[in-house]
Parts: sequence; C-alpha cells; structure tokens
Amino acid sequence: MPAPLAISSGAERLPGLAAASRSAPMDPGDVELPAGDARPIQPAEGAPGGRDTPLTRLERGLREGRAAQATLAALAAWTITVAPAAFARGSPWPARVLAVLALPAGAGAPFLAVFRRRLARHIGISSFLALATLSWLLASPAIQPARLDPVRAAIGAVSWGVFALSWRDRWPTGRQLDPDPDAPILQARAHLPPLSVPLAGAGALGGLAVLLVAWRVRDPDRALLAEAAAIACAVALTTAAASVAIFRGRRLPSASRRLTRHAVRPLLLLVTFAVLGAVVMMLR
Amino acid sequence: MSRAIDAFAILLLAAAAAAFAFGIYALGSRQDFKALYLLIVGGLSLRASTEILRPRGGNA
Repeated sequence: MPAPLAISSGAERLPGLAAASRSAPMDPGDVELPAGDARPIQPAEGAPGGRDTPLTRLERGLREGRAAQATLAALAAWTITVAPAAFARGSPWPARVLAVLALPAGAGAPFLAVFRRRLARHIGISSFLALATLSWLLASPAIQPARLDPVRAAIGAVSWGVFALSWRDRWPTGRQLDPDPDAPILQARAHLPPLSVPLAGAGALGGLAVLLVAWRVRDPDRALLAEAAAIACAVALTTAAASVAIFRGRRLPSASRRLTRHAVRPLLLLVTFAVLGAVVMMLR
Repeated sequence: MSRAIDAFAILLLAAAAAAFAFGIYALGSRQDFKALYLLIVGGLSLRASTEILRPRGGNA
C-alpha cells in the first residue's frame, strides 16, 4: 500500500519480487525496488568482498545522478514557487518557517533515498508537499491571481512537473522468457475497428480545443471555474470518443444494433432538454 | 442501419465537443444561463453518443 502523496514504488506490480522479498531478510523500513531501482538495497556491485557499506551506497547513488536530479528539481520548485510567496512582503512568519522547513525536506531527502527509500519518499515528497502547501495557504495573499506573473507561474508548473519526474521509478523490464515450443499459437481475440484511432484522436483534439477556449477567459473570477469545467469536459470528451471508437466496430447480433430503449431514453432526454432550453433562451 | 447509427453517434460526439466549447466561451462572456445550457446539452450528447452504441443483450 503506497503512502499518500507518494509515487508507487512499483513493487506491487511484481508478484515475483514480493515472493523474493519474503525469502530475503532486509530492513523493514526500506522498499525493494524492481530491476534498476533495486540497487540501493542490494549488495554493492563490485564492492570489495561484496560488502555494501553506507559509503559505497552513497557513492553509487551519487554516481547514478538521480539524487542530484531530485535535489535540483526540489530546489527549483522551492525557489520559483514557495520562496517568493513565503518571503513576500506581508507574509506571516509561520509561512516563512514552514517554507524554510520544506527546503531541507525537499533537497535532502533524495540523498536519504540511497539508504532508506521509503522514508526518503515520505520526507521528500509527502512532507515537502505538505510544508509547501501549508506555506502557500498561510501566505495566500501573496499568490492571489492578480499578483501572479504568468511566465513565472508557467515556469513553476514546469518545475513541479520535473520534481515529480525526478522521483520516478523505472519501469520494470523483467527477464525475457524463452519461447515454449509446445505452446499453442495465440490469436488476437479482437482487432480495433477501422478509423478507431483517428476517431479517438479527434476526441482528444476536441478536448484540447475546449481547454484552449478556457485559457481565453479574461475575467479572473471566472477563469478558474472555466478551467475546471474545461478539464472535466476534456476528460469526458476523450473518454466518450474512445468508447465510441471501440463500440462502433463491434460485430454484434442485429437485434442489439437497433435503437433500443436504453439508447432512445438519453436521446429523448437530449432533445427535450435542448428544445426547452432553446425556447427559454429565446423568451428571455 | 448499423452504419447510420455509427454516423449518428459520431455526429453527437462532434455536437458535444462544439457545445462544450461554446459553453466555456459563454461562461467567460458572463452568459451564465447559456453556458449552463450548453454544458448540459454537451453532457447529454456525450451520454447519448455512447449509449446508442453500447451493446446490450436483446431488445431490453
């Protein structure tokens, strides 16, 4: 069960890894990681005598460069988005204290990940985000939409995206199994219907278009609402387009391809609401 | 019949996208009633577009 606000380690995707973890003793505070990320808790490769000392672990972690990446990403996100709000004129001192506490949590935890990855994720992700959020809440006058610089806000959003990616876990590659000569040839159970990909792509493009329309809302009071509504609309459009693209090509008995009662009901509702709404708008 | 239903579903999908876009535009233009109307029509269009293609056993 991954911790709240923490990215899954991927261990739950590997039943074999879970079995291996039961058979091998290890520090309960650590998380065994798949393939490329399992190194921090395994014996050092090439270490003298196979001994995995903290120093060799740290050296190996630094050599991989991931700790430095995560530290730089946390520093960038803190510098661009947290510090300006917490240390703005008029911000209360608790906001500054929380911001200062967030800095070592975000910048130092990646190095702790070399030794205790789970604890490091709790500190570097969960605690860092919690402290930053509390700091923002206390210094909320400093981050009013009217006072935000759009360019800096965009760079800050990118920096948080980089921060999230810096704590990523590599996708487990697994070992390629040898083909079984006695296994029967597996046939695909279904194919995508024709034009399904363009149709789903058109739905995604429609969702993007709705998002672009929302970005054109100038009124600050309505911009947030419009953006939230546009995101919901984009998700619904993309999902529905994918459903239509898949359902459309199904070869089913002719009885189920007629307009059934289940299909007519939403259509009637749509027509009724559209006509009534249009009439009301004309009368207003 | 099957192709006509497919085309109608795609048409409803396009109508939903247009309704959503105009609804968001109306929201930014302070036309609340129109925005609400268009967003609901878009949602109903989406639901109808998937429901008419959703396979169901028999004629129900």
